[in-house]
Amino acid sequence: MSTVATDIAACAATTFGRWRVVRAVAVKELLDIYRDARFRWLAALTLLLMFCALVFGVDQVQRTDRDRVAAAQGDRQLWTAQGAKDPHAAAHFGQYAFKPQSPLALADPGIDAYVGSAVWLEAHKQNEVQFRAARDNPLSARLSSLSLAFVLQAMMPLVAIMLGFAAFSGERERGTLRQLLSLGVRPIDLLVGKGLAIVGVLVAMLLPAFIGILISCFMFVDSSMFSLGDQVARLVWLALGYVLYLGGFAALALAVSAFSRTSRMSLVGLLAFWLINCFLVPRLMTDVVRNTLPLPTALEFRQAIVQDKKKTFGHDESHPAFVAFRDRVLKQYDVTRVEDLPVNFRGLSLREDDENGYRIFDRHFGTLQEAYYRQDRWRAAPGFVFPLLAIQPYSMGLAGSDTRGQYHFTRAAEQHRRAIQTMVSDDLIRNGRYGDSTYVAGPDLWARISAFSYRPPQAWWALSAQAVNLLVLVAWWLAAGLLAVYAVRRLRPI
Amino acid sequence: MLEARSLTKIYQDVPALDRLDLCVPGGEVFCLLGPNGAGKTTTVNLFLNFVAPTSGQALVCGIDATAEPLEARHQLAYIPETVMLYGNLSGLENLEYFSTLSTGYRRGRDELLALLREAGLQEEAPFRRVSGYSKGMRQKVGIAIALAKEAKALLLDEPTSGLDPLAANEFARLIENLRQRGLAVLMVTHDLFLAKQCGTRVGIMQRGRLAAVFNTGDIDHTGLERAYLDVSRAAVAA
Amino acid sequence: MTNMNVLVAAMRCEWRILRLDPALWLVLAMILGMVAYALYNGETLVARQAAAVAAANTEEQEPLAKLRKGLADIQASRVAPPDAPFRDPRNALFVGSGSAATNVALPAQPLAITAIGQSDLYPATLRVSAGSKDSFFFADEIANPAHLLSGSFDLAFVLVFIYPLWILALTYNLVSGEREQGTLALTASCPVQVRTVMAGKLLVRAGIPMLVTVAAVFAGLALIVGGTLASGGQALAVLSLAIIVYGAFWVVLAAAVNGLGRDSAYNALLLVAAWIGVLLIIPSLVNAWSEARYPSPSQAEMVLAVRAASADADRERNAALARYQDEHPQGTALQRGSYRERTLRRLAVQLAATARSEEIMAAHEAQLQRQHDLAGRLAYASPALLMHDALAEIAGTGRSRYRAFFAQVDRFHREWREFFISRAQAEQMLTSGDYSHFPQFSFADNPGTGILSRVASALIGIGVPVLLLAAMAARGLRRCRVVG
Repeated sequence: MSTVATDIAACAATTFGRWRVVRAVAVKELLDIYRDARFRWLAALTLLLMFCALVFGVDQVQRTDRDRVAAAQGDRQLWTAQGAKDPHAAAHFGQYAFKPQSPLALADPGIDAYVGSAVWLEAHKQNEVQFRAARDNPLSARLSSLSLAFVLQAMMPLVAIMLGFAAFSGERERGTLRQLLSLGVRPIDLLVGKGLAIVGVLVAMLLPAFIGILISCFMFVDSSMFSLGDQVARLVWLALGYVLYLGGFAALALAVSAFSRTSRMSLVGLLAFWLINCFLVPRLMTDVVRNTLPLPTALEFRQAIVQDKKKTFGHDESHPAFVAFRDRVLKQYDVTRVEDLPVNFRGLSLREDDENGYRIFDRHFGTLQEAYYRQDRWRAAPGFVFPLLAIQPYSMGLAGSDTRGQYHFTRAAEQHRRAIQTMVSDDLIRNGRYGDSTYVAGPDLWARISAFSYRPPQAWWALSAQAVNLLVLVAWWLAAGLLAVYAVRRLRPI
Repeated sequence: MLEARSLTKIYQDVPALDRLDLCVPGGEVFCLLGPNGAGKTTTVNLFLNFVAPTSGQALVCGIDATAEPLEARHQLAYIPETVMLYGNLSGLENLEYFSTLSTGYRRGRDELLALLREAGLQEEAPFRRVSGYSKGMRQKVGIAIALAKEAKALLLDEPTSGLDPLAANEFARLIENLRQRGLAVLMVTHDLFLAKQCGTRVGIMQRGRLAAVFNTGDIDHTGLERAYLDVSRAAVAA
Repeated sequence: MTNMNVLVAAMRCEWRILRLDPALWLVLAMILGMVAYALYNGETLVARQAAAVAAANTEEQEPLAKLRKGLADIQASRVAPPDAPFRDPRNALFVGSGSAATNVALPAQPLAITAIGQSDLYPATLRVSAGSKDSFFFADEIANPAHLLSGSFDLAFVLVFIYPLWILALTYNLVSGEREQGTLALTASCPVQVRTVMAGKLLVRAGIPMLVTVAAVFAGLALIVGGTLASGGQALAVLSLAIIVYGAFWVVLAAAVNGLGRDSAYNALLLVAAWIGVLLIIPSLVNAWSEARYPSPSQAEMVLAVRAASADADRERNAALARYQDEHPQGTALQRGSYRERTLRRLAVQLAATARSEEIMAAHEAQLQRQHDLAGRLAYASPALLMHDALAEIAGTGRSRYRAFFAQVDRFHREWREFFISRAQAEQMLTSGDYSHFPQFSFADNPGTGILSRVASALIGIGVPVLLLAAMAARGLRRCRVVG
């Protein structure tokens, strides 16, 4: 310590020595942290938790992926083995689309357990995605679930707090702060030095987690679906978000430590903030947005669609809209009877009905999704004070396990459903004869209709959706940093 | 009566107290002098059984403080350097609490006030919160606790350090008062003047042993000071 | 002096000190505020579920009325019977599998507002039809998934997460604080056992937040639930007991940590670490391990199997039809697309799907049960897990009540299916008499035993560590260092 002190004194004398002062402070802090048994325990525990999260995560992602691949193959087999049948009956039989889990769900499984993973693509209607995994889990899963995101979002801030809470108040209590300031060290240099040391330790603890994810990605990612470069880009942005999140905590800890009269007060204040940020505010905001921006119930949602669908004719040939459509088609082809049409009228009417339905489904599902987004925006709004509200959606978003990612999948599945409908209706239009209910299509048609293949969105797509949250995180980091600067400006040595 | 029978306490191979034999009968004030680390406070802690002896016995009115600490404490009162009380309670409330713990019954308010008056705490002071008390006032509450407890023996650990001369003098008179009531008083102090003033006997300790004992009647201030310095220097030389 | 007197004196003194401590009033304000908000919040959610059930029941009536009217019209020969079986109100198979399908709901218990439990993951009502179980069982209520992930601010959250902190805030420095301010030495110089004095102080410091919490919960429930609370008297008693026992765990933990004889800062850190371990780390490891050991079965696999069974049945039907037509070249009874053929085909497909889905869902259920059993056993590692489960059980939103509900729905589904399928198999038409004898569902709570015993084992699971820690605390406080 004494050599460090003289080192600092020597450096402070020169104008160019400021960086060396900062460096000396940082080195001393690192040494101090390294020798602190409490920190070693905490770091070991955190790293162990990260390791467990990674191992269980890899296990879960792989299992889910195996199940999905097997299911997709099985479904394809069922589809192609349908035999000869009416194309529209095949459309009713439909296909299933299974959602692939994003490889970065390893880092943050996000909402994956709380949304469905399979959707039935059948004629006439857009189904909701079914099978929420959370329904199968024991109640305890709602208390706390192990994931890297949990460790990074809830445990790592604690590490930052432990590293920073006594940074200034502890020096004051030991009397070393007087010593330091009497040497002519600027408080701001002390802040920068300590800050660098803490952030350095935090980054060093983040590294194994991110390297672990990276290795898992290289080993296990299905590269036919996910591009590795894209995953790496996502990972880099993810790391940036967490550095901002944790850097803000480090700055806040330093600020509170400089403000507080005793280390104990500093610790209590920081722990209270941690608790509010990680546990109270997320639930509070959830309830606030749920109550102020309510969603429709499933029944209301279905009824609204049914109401709109009543305006379309479906299979009802006495529906006024059906009659109007028939007259229009007859006029277009300049014939008087549907039997005289050069194309199959049943196929035409199915296609027309489908297309009317698409507009209705797009509107309703779009409105519902917009309602989710509105809730999510408001929930994240206080994120610059309580950064968990911003890092949570940001992390899920870049990991591809958020509501937006889910919607991307449902849109893609719906597009595929529509492609199936169009192909079977076109087949009917071209090859069917009016009034002949015996027309059947064969396996070659089923084989021509491709299996659902999902292209997950690119990193920039996820990032652009999370731009606001990233800005909020930057604001949090800046605010905490400025607070720390303000706090050390009025630092009392005794 | 306080009695130590080859009382020994060893902390990690270092003897803090080495076969101390000491007897303080009722009506006597025995002052323990000696440099820091000589074993004075350890002696007090052993009588209170705050620490257990390595060997030997500490007897309070014939009761072994280690074997029957509660019985021994019945006979004892203890006043540390700074009497620590509950800052949010008044002097009266603190006294009420500790006297209840000591005697098992709650005394009346007037009785407690009388005790505080006797200890020198005047007028409205008993009703104020202890957090605003001076060190001397806290000590008076400590004495009142000792009075309330009707203790047979009193242990004082550097009671006057940090007191102004007036307060120290007042304190000495209170001690004399207690002695006349027949209490056995063991006082640890650095204050030679106080030791001469209110002690009946003075012992000088060094390295866990009682190096010299004088009757205060037999020795004057200068003599005491010289004896103290001799013992301390011998300790440094050794 | 008797221990009782010492205890009382210590308690009086502690109350005098504590009532002047702003921390106490802050804690009490937080208890009242959070309990009130949590109950209000629970009430909002339960009311929304009740509204959803009511809406579903209303919605169910309309198609039923239409069917009855259609039937009456056909029977009175006002209209000709429709040629499509799915429009025919007399067709048992299509009526039972579609338009007449009935809503079943798990009724909320009086204390439902205290714990959301699993109720936000299941729809308010299930629409039971004569189809295979997978066709209705997996329906979901609309919910923002991010909200399901974060969970609600319900009383269970407040009690499991925050309530221990109130207790710890007032008890973490019970002995260490006295040592640091020097009063411990004076207390120890009195002829009483320090342990007894500390027990008295602990009773006040921990008893106040515990009793105020119980009182706040009672008052809040009385205000919000009002009259119906009387029927939940037993649950309320068990709830209070759970609050006290779970509180006791944290109290004795704080006492045991104080018994280690370290300073207040050390105690605070150790207790915060214990809180994190009990509430976050152990639960997350328990979940991860039980999921890895007995993975949740793949629902996709079930979907595929049921689809394959349906497709096979469909193909068999084709073959049967072809045979029939070979054998009866002139026969008109069965023709592709005829009313009868469509009904029989649907019946065959539905029966095949039902058989397959029941088989697979039962296997899945068994697999999940193994996972839940393991998680249930591991839950004894964390009193927070036990408390969380117990609160949901008391509120009637826990796993065991849902299991009972699903078992009864399953029975009801069989009954419903039997009613319609048997008529369809016999090719009987539904009569208006049948319409008034459709099976009805009503949920019957397991009388007492099941839930109470589940809570009892959880409470014992919390109680055993309480006793161990209490013994540790007593030992620690007896040997407690007095001087620094």
